[in-house]
Amino acid sequence: MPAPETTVAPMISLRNVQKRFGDHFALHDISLDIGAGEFFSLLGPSGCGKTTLLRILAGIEQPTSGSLSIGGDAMAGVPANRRPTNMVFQSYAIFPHLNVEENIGYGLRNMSIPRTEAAARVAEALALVKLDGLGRRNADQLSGGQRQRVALARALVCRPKVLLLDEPLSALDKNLRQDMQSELRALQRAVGITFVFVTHDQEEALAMSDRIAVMNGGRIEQVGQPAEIYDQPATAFVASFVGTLNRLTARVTERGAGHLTVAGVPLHLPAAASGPGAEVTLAVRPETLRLGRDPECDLVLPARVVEVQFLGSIVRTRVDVGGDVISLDSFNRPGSPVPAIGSSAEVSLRSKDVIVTQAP
Amino acid sequence: MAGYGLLSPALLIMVAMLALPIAALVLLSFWRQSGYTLDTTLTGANYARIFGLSDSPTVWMGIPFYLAYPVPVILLIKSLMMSLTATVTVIPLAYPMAYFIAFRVRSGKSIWILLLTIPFWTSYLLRVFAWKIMLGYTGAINSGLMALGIIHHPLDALLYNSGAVTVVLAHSWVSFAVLPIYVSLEKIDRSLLEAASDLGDTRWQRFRRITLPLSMPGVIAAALMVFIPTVGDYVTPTLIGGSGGSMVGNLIQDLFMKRNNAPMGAAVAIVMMAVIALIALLFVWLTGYHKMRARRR
Repeated sequence: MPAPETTVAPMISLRNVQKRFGDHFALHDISLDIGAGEFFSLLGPSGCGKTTLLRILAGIEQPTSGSLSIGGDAMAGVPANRRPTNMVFQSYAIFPHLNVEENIGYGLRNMSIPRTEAAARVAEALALVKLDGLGRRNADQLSGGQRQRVALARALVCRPKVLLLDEPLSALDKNLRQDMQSELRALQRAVGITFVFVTHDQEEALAMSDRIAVMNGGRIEQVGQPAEIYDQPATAFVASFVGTLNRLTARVTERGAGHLTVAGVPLHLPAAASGPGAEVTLAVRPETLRLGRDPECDLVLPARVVEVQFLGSIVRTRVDVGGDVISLDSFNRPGSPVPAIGSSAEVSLRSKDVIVTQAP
Repeated sequence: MAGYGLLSPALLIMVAMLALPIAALVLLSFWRQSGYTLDTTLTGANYARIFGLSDSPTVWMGIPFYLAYPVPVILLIKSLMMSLTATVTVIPLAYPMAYFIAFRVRSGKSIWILLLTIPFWTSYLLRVFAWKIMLGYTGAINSGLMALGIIHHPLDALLYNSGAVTVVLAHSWVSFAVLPIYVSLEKIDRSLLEAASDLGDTRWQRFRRITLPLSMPGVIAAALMVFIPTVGDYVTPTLIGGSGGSMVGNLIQDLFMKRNNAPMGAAVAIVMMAVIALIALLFVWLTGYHKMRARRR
């Protein structure tokens, strides 16, 4: 895979990096550039190699082959303690025998920094993560959110070129996680350090990142800005992993490539380049579907309501279209009737919102 | 109450086999031996004798002891020193072994633990006796060195002194000390070590700042496990120590069995127990205090 281009000078550059544990390939031939000051996410399901890649950047793991440079310096043979990176661990790895200040100041003791300046930097870091006044707290007296902030401050206080974050928000409850998402993003803008953020949560990656690399089975499936990844998924995996995706089976008609029927309704999609009679899978995002007949849409499919989920602000309706069950979201407007289960309905969509993927 | 129910078998054994005998020992120490009979009037005479002062000092290791009956106190101090030396020897021997099993052994840790218990498959007495064969006048070391022509006469400094006792004590207890240290090392979250490296620590700094402090509970447990039972040991000094290497346990045994003065033996035993308890508490308090101070800082 050729390395994707970046608009800024690369801070991190990976070339043909492979990692093997015994017979198992954790990473296949990863080439990737991450720009200075970027908020870059590695997104993928568990076991896709994203954490291994992060640990290779940190120097905790060594690649089996391939090269890596950070800030223009080759990292081959440079151990973790001499890399310009710092990491926020998934478990936070707060040292239990040290208090908050000692935890945050831990890395500064390894730099030749005068005591007074180190103390000032610790105080500054405490303020940055909004933990002022908690410096003397013991590690075991902290809440999950506070531990996360200590871990963040401990890494940032060393002023690394790259901050590595291994699913730092996964242990927090939902509200706190959403607050921390925007706070982390604001913090990244404020300090201007390159962030490499590992997550399995696609919403988190979409909400926070400048760019995302979607990973699966030790390979990078696609690298791009959140909107690109969501709207133009490069592979079937990206399309299904990022966002909710409905699959509709279509059949190519006798007229040839591009002419399809879905649930008996003809449509023309030039991207479907299969021969007559072939089955093609069409992918549709729930938010591009409308329940009922919509004048803006060029395609109306007959459907039958299977299930209605009332989610508060959103009503998610699952309908059967020609044997495929798909879901669509509509806003809950008081007064508008919720469709009855078993009733027939119509689903409208625009043919340009349809993503064509190959039949499985 | 259900919790106490679970405790009760152990509790019964402890009361019957430990608390009652100790209570009996305390009572015995306040009696007196007169001829072949026990005088059961309560008296502190035994303790008064142990700590009774005298104007003419007994000098041991250059230290004058102004005591009328200095043997128990001197032997107790000597025993404490020997146990302390054994403990101080055992910890650095056991620590690398525990570290190796905890951090370097990837699979089959239980086999390594099993290997550690092999010494306990034979009796303590036999193991101590084996040392006698090793260190003796015509023992393995002497005959080996003579066969190699390094020495021409057997060394008689190998056996029957406190150095020999300390070596044997250290050898006997080192595998016991490995286990608590291993457990405390095994409990350390590996991400803490990765974090320390990530924050710039070299391997040695990481050991000093993270691994060692976090394994201190195990080291303290190991030290107490070696120190407490070795002070009162009398098998090793009997077999290995001879007259030069006798310990306070030998005196207690002597008072009970040979000199027919069980109350005095009981009093020496109680003094020994009290001193060990004090030292153990002081040790725990000091290390705990250190932790508290670290927290307040």
